[in-house]
Amino acid sequence: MNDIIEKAKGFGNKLYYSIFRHRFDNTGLTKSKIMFSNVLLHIQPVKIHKRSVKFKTTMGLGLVTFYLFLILSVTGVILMFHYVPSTAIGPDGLPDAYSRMLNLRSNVFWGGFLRNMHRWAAHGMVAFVALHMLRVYLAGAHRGGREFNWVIGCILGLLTVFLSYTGYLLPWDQLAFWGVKVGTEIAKLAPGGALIRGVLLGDTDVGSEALIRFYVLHVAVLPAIMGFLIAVHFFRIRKDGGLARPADTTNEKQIPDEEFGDVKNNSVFKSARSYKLVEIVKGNEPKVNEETDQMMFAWPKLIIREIIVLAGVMAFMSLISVLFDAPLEGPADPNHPTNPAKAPWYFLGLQELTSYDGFIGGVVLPGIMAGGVMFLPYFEIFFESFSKTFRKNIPGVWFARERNLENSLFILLYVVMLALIIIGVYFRGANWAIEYPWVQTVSGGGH
Amino acid sequence: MSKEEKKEGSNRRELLTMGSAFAVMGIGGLAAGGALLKYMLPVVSYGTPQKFLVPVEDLPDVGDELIFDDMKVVLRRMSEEKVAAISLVCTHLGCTVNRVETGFQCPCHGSQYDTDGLVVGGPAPKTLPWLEIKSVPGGQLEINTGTSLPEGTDFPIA
Repeated sequence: MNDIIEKAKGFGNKLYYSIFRHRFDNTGLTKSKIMFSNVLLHIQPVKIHKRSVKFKTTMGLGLVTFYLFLILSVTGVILMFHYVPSTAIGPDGLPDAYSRMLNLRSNVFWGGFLRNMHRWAAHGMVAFVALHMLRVYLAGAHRGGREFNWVIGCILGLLTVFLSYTGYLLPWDQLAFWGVKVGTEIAKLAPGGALIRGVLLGDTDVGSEALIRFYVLHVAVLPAIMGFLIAVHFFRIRKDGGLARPADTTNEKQIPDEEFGDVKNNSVFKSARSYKLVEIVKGNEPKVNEETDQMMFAWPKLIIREIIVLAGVMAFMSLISVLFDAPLEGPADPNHPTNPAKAPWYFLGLQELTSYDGFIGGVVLPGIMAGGVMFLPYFEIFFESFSKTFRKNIPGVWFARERNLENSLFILLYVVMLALIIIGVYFRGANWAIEYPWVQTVSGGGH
Repeated sequence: MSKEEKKEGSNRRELLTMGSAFAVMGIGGLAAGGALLKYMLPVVSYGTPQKFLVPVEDLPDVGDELIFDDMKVVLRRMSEEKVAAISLVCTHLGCTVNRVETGFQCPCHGSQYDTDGLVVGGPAPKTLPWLEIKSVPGGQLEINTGTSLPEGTDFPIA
């Protein structure tokens, strides 16, 4: 009997070590092995700076954005099983794409929930991209060698918006049809716009060809580009030495050591110097000496925090998806837009701008805004080198006094955009006339 | 051949090799990109036809109007012999305008037109296009939505 137990144990051990190459004890070696022997965890460093896990450093905004992207990918693929990108009128007198939405909502088990989750996560992702960008800028984390990563981040932000745009066309409801109609009319105003419009629509007007094209963009082309750029975005953070932080963090208030527990170091390298071997690399790698005291193992403290954020996002999104149904307007009517015809909230600022002038509000201002924000760090460097103000840049510090001007301007930009969105959502009624929400109910802002 | 010259020569060769390699790839990439663009351009239009027919006996009374939803056109009887057609597509960003008492209003961005389609408010850059009407045999009028004529252009019914 004992013999059999021994053999079973031996087999179990072999099985375990064929899957995992480490145990789960509290040694530095194990903690390193856990991180670099797992394909998901190895994206992150074995050791991170202590301030990285503090809420104040990132507020987890980028992480939440990434989780929302994951949720969107999963729910999106599942939704594809029940969707047909066709405008052909079915036996119920509705376009196929639209009746698939009704089908999801009323017949398919779990269909409504998944559609809600997909729609609300998309809204959330747009919001969190904006918040993440605000955080990075106000903390000055877009400077000090990270300028190009800021550019990639901005491209990711634009992709997020374009994914949302191509996504809300797919239900082929009124919002979809008129959103694409107006959006591609704006494209037509831009230089070379007729060509862009032709390529996007595949026809002279919004129709079945446009639905197929937007569908392919939404489910294949854009997510692929997005996934690749997310990888680049993360990779560059690693190569830039982790999250942006000031050169000297010895005097910063940190989480007390006792919270991380004792780490017994019985690695083959014996002392903490084992880590210092990799610190000789030039550049923004962790500094030798004083900085090593500020480093901690990513396992388990960072990973657990990440899992908590994931659980929180999942719980919140599930709750929202149970409580609120994703909007679905009437089936697309190419002859009559709804009155008022409102875009989803993140485009209402733009719609408000275009309601003053199509070309300036729809092409020039958004173009300047997107380009200006994307190349903002380079503009900063340009002005600094020409005005010879070689200021000390303090990356990773919120509201650094040296950056008061820049921070104020950036916040102002957000306030203006937010104000335009609020006007669009709450103060525009029938025929896009100004209405006051306390006088009469303003409709159409619930996308 | 001295050592330095050799080095220079190899540099030149390297540059030529790399240069031609990149040039070939670049040309290939441009050609593929151009072909892809052409591939993506619309070939056949499934859009609505631009012209439609209205029998003369269906014309409204003098001063009245008839709205053709599918064609986005309002047909107006100007007098006993004259008729005119105005497009209902907003000149701003292509939404369909609504007929209201004062003229036309766009629900998308709030453009306002008077009864003749002249801009009186909002972002619309141009007057609503007036359309060409032709008499065709069989007592019918042919309205061409692809045209854009100045306001007040009307046509004989005959």
